[in-house]
Amino acid sequence: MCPVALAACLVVFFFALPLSAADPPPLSERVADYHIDARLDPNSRTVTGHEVLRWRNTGRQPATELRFHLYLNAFDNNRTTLMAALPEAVERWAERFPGEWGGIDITSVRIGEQDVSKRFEFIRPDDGNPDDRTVARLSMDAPVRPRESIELEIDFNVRLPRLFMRAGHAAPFFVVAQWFPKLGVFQNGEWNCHQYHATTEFFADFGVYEVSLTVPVDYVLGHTGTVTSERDNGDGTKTVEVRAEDVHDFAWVADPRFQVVDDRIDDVRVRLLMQPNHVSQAARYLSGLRAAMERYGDWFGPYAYPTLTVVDPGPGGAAGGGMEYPMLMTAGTTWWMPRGLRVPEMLAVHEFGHQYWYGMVANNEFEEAWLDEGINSYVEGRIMDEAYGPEASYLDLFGLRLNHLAEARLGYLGAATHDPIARPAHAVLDRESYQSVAYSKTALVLETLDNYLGNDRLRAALRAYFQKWRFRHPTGNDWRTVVEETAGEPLGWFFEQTLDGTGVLDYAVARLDVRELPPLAGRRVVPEASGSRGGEKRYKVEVVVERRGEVRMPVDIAVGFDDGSETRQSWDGRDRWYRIEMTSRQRAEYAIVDPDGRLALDANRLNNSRMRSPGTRGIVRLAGRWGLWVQSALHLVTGF
Amino acid sequence: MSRAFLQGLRVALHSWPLALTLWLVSLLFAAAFASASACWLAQVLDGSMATRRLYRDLDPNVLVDLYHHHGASFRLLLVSAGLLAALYVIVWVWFHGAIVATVRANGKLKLRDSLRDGLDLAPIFGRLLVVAASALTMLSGAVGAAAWWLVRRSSAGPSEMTRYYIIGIALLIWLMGAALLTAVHDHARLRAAAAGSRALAAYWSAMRFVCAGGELAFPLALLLHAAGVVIWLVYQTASANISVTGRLGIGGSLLWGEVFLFARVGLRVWFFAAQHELQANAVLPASFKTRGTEVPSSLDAFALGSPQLPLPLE
Repeated sequence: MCPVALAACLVVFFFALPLSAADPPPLSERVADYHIDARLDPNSRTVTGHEVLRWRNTGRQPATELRFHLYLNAFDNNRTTLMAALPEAVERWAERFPGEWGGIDITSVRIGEQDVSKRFEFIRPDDGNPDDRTVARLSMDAPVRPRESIELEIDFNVRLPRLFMRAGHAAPFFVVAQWFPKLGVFQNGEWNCHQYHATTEFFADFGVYEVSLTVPVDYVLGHTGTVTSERDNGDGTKTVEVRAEDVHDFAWVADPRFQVVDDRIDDVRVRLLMQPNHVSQAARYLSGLRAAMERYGDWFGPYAYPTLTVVDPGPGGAAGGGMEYPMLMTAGTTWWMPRGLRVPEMLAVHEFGHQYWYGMVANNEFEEAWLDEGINSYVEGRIMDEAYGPEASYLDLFGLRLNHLAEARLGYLGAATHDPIARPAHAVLDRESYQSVAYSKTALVLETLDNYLGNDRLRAALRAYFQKWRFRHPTGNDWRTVVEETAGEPLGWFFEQTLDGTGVLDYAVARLDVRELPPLAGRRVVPEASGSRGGEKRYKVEVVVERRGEVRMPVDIAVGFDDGSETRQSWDGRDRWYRIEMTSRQRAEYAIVDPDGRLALDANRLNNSRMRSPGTRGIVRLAGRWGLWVQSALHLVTGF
Repeated sequence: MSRAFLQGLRVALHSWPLALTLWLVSLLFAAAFASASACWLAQVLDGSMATRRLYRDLDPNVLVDLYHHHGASFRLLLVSAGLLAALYVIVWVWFHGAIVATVRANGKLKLRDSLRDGLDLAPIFGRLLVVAASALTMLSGAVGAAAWWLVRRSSAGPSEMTRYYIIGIALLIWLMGAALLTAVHDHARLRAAAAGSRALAAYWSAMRFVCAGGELAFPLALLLHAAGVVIWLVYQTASANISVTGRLGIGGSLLWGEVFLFARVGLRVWFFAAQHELQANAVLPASFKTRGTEVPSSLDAFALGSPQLPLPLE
């Protein structure tokens, strides 16, 4: 080798060495690392587990105790906080599947060699419900000081309930979620670790999960993370080793019937676990996923993980569908799902969106569900409308159409005024109100903000929010700050009304008067100044617009004339009403408040316009169609 | 059977004035409901642009607002539809009488006479409707309960398709049962009209006749239902190709719907004409008698009691 080549090799070697040897920095702080060995017994519907948990105190205060989520205990009896909120559903479920309760039992807890099981006690920080065992506390002899770590070993047994909500079984389909003792989040010197409520989801710290899953050899597994090894144990079982980095939960599913459909979207390996009768639906899931992954990547940033698993629930497993876990999502469809009913596509888009807001940003879903569900619903709607057409992105069946706006309004108007968006999920009136405000109202607020700021500015704000706060547990205030900073203007007036209040936005055209001006008559009449004269008519137009809701927003008002022209004015919406008076050579035909439909949050769009002479053709069309339907039904009845 | 099928068609075509009248009455009911709907829409849309926009576009947001802000009054509109339907069923008890009177005269009865004779038959047909509706309710209840029980029992099973098989089979059984009961009901009307017998006896006699396979009565009913399905398919296929955006399209679509419903009324006349032909051929092919002719008591007894002699009527 010539000296020059040798020197070049040495240079390359010395520069390359540090590059290859150094691991990329972790994406998250990795506060809680879990090593879990779990074994599923499908016959007894149980999982036995051994968990080694290493927790690092990244706060500034010492921790004198640890708090754990034991959320599977929500299905332990009919008086848990979750079950008590849904008495009728629980009664039906318990009657249909007697004895199929579930839960988690902690059999031993050790810190080093010391058995501390007796210090493990259930607490009810939210409601004091003595029948709820979804949160437990472990007091310690010595506090864990800032920057110190603690390692625990926990043995536990899980009994999976018949699927009621999210986790459980419809054997041989198993959704093993919220299944291991999982730490809460230590924030500002105290634990944020809430009970499991019917309206709440999850909050936990990021970490590394190394999980060993032992299942019957014929079972197909889906899970958070990527497989590092797999072995046949020779006893009818197999063990799959899985590793997931920078995630805050670990869930898995198992079913021997799964048909695996592999694909790749961008650089992500996508794995669909389909029920045998649903394989034809895989293309629909993939269509939704492709639409979502490409746009999320463009709009907000890359998906941080190498794989994504999509689970199609088994028969009777719908209650486990439509859920998100890190790198894993459950969806739902049927073999007969009509093309025009875009449920699989919507679920794919929605649950993938959670990989960003719930998965990577990971705000406190318990206290601020809207930051995940609401933002996700807004982006989902935008993607659906783009990918499947703005008129009928959700439904296009038998002449019925539903797009994002109509879908969100349908959800919002059902319970518009009970709770503010910013209220913690467990404190809202009921599930209907939760879904109305956390999902639909937030989506409409963001649509309205999008129209106010412009799509580019809001998208830039959401991108900045994602980029700044991913893997960091932001709050609603963090979100507001980023949006204001990126938009470059104060938006407190907007957020206070829409996020913190329960007020309704409703503008209405209350009056449209058009009167032909009579010729001016009087003692000192100047002919040129008179009203209608000769063949030229003049009209006085009066439009009164009302603000019927509490929410005030600037709004445009358009008045259209019989020659096709239109004039517009803006109103700040501060007063309860606003009058427009004008004199015109054309006769006003209509008046519209918010003519471009920018106020997506407007609770009643029917009253947004008024015509001088209302049309009848629309009414005749609809009434005629309804008449024909009724006539057809009458003929059916008399066919017997 | 084929002779009855074709002869029935001939009689039905010949009875077009009756079919036209019955269709016009149904149109009247539809117009009544459409008018109520139009009044309601005019009230709730309150002069908004939606009154015009709905002509071009069934805007889902308008429907969302109607649902949320005017749901209570919309339910009242549905109640009015229910009342209209009840009234229509009652009126059709009379019309069924008119149809039966017409087909018994081979379609040669004047419209006025048909309606008059139909009115005479209305009381017995009303009672028959109660009997037939009870039978249909029992069938629906039995099939529904069995399907529900089986689906519930199998819901914990691993196979997704089991429930669909159960529902599919239950639906098929129900459809066949409903077709059978419709045929029985129709034959019972014909028998009651001929013999002036009691409703329950006429129904029982017709049931035995149809179930015993008398003159392929049930296959004929299925064939007539198949004809109805063909007419429906033609209607749907054409409807799918009518654009309902312009004035012509909307008007054409409504008109086409009415053509279909007129055909449905004609089909109903065809049902009775064919079944009457079947009965007439079975026993007394040469001597049709109009209502009012004395029926020998022995024949009447056969009509209501004898399974061996399926139709000793008239």
